[in-house]
Amino acid sequence: MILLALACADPVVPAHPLADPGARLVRASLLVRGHRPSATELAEFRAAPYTLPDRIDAWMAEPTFGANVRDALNEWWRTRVTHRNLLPMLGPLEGVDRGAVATSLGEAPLIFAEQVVLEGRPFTDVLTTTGAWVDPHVAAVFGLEHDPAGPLWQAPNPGSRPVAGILSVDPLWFRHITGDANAQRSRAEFVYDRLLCDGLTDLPLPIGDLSPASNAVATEPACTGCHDVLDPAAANFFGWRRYALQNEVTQAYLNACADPTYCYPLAWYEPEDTTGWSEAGLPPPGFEHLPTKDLATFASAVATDPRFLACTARRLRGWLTQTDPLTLPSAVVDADVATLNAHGNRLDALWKSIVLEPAVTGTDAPGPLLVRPEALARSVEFFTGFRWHIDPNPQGCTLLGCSREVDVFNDDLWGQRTLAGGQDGWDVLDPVHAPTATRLLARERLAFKAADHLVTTDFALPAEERVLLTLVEPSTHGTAKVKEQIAHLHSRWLGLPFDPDSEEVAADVDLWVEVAGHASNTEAWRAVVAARLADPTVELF
Amino acid sequence: MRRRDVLAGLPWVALASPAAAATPPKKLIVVIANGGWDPTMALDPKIGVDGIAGGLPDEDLGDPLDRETTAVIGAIDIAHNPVKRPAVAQFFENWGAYATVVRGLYTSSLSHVPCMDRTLMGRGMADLATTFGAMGAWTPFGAVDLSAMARPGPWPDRVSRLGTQGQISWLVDPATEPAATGATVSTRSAGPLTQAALDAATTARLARLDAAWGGWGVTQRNQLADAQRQAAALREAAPDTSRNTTLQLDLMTTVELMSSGLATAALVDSRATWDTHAEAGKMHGSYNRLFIALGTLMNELTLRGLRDDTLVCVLSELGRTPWRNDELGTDHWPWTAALLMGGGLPGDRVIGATDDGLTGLPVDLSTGDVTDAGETLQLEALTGGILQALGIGDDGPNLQLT
Repeated sequence: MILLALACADPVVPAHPLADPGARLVRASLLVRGHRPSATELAEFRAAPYTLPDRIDAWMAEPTFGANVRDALNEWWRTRVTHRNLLPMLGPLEGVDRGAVATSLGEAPLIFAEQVVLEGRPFTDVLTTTGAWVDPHVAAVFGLEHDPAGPLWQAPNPGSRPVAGILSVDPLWFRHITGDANAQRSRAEFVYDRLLCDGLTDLPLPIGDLSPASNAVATEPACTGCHDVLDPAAANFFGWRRYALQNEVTQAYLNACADPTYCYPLAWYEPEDTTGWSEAGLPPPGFEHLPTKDLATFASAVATDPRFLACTARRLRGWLTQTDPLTLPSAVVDADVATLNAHGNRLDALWKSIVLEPAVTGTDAPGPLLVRPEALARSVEFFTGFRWHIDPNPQGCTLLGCSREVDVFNDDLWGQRTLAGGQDGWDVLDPVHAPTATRLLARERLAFKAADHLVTTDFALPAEERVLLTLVEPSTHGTAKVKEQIAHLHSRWLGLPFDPDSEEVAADVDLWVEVAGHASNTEAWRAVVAARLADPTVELF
Repeated sequence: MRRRDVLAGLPWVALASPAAAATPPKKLIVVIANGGWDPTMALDPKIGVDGIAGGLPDEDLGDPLDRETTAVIGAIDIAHNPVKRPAVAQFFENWGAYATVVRGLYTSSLSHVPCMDRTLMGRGMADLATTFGAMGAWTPFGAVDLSAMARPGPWPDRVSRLGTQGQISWLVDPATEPAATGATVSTRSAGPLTQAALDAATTARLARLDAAWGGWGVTQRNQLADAQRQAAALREAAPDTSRNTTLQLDLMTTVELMSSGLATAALVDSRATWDTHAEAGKMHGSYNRLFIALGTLMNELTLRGLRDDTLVCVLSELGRTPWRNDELGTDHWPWTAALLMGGGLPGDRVIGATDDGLTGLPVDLSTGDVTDAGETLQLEALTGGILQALGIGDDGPNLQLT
């Protein structure tokens, strides 16, 4: 009878992983700040798990929320193209790190939008306020003022540039280029695709006469449907140069800047060229069949188009839940737009609202999320103090300059961002939200190096000044101390309850003993710390 | 997602028949001329056609050899310049018997990204290499991407990016790793003992997660377990891509990985300039380097006995305008061409055609013959035909290549 009862008993269903407050806090912290929480935060939250809304408010005042905002916006606007934003280090940039300049160019549009979010302004301000933000590199390339005595990033006088938010940010158009025949249409398409989620270039091109004489964009009925919309929008962008090639800049300096167009500062925005649409054969500037006076009125019209906030909501939810934003149900998007509207169109308010949903940080969450490379690097740095930078050119640079310090998880020319699952913004347009071999290799390599750093630096310090290894010395052999130290690692990094007798801790003690027996105690600590930094639950959260 | 899950979830896919499984498994190499090439400078000659510039504007009139001509090699006619692009004709002299030229392919767009999507994916959910890497004979990596242009779709775990600068090298062999700035870390590897311990710790942790998480995240855990096995294979193979700065080296890496049974498919960037909105003459050198590398590839595949099992597809997402613009460049044009080699396909043939306005002519998809009763040759029909030739097909209107 007893046997029968046992056989018929319901199988034990594991509790939902996010029922654990530690796991829930880890997920919320990664979604808001892009890094895992501290040991103190975990301990406090376990004692008071109802405090998540307040914690999110506090986190949103931290610099790492701003960094996370930039990560998200980069995924939408694809500006961090460090492998493409390469300029010769000549003139005022002589001796400057080439990679650092490329990084600054990618960051500038994001810094501006970050300010809008951090200051609690309506997100429509990214289109309706002055967008120029510069550091010394951006200032030198585009000829904007930067006070060396001030903060790194500053809002300069934008000069004659229209007040059009990111649409008047010089580096955005350094990334999103156009050509003579394209006639600024690619920049108009940036607005339709990235800001309105209503891209036009996916529509099939009709077969017809495309010779210049045919002027098909204006006369071929199958073409005009799109071009009636795209071309007036494109006309707003005249004034910004099409692109700048490395050899154009080099050649300009070889010619002693006789033509200063491609010497720094680049002649990038020319107000007298704003009427160039006429010469290019485009119709007058407009948006959705209504005339626009200039780029500022165009940007303002985009900001008030209902598709802008809907697209913003789609992209944010898609980013937080790692789903394709264009597949989200309309009802969900409508609800998110309502949330935005109810909070003065503040992106941080929608961010918090989504993070607090049971389907995101609660027991309705359908499955684990994958840590992005940017968040992994930030988490490891937060915990160990280690940020992986490399020097890819130790032999030195040519006259045109080179990169001497590369952030491995935020770079694709030399680094591992795309191998770790990220996007490069140019060829790799979307991140990969699934485990892969190269992602695992990159994560393990980062973990091993960070463990190397942590163990080396910790054992060089007095115990009370260490980050992690406060209970042991290289000479410590006693299993009890080792076990307690490992339990601390599990608690502080993985967010597990402190339990020296747990199965997980026992497994790592076995690992420690095995490596110590064959190598050394120090090597054993490297192995254990590396194993946990690369733990599967660090990737799947 | 494991392969069996993939297969279970995709009724549109029909794998090669059991009878076909007795033959050596096929392989696929896709070389992409990223940017949009001008077919009239190699694969679709229009010498003497009014209004089609091709390479004519670049001729050096002081050099009697620098002339654009049409070379007929077997049944294939190509645009030839013995000074600027000698490798093109040389390639067809050597390998034309294994080559199929496809002309008059319609891209349906003039923008790079949607054209690249159609070129690489056709009607599918992922690029050709990834799709075949997921569906073809199982290898640890499935597909490798040396181009950064993979469209992984539902199979991100079946394509491994190797990095456009060969960064994979220093993930598997720290000896090639650039030095870290700062003095607290070394480039040393974990060492076999520690690596084995790390692997065992990960495996054990995944097993404990199976118990703790139940069905939650089972797909990702399975993918992670697969990734761990793939990573071990990568460490074992330790492909040295640290000096890969040319197409030739990328192709040799690809052949090595395929010969070792590690990869089924590869996507490779031609590493050449094609998007010549200014100075279209740059394309002569691009074509020359491309065909030198393709010749080396065919030679290598032949030497290793892989030529008839390995289908090589050379694709470009756009063509170029027949005329030169004010900067002596050419802009985007929606008709392009492709080159297919090896894989057991018939060779020495041309499929499709363009007229004197560089517009594609209709073809009979079942024969490849140009006919008024045919239809426009879409990129989707070509990619569908390629997958069918590899033993994977759907019911779409595919170009018959076999």
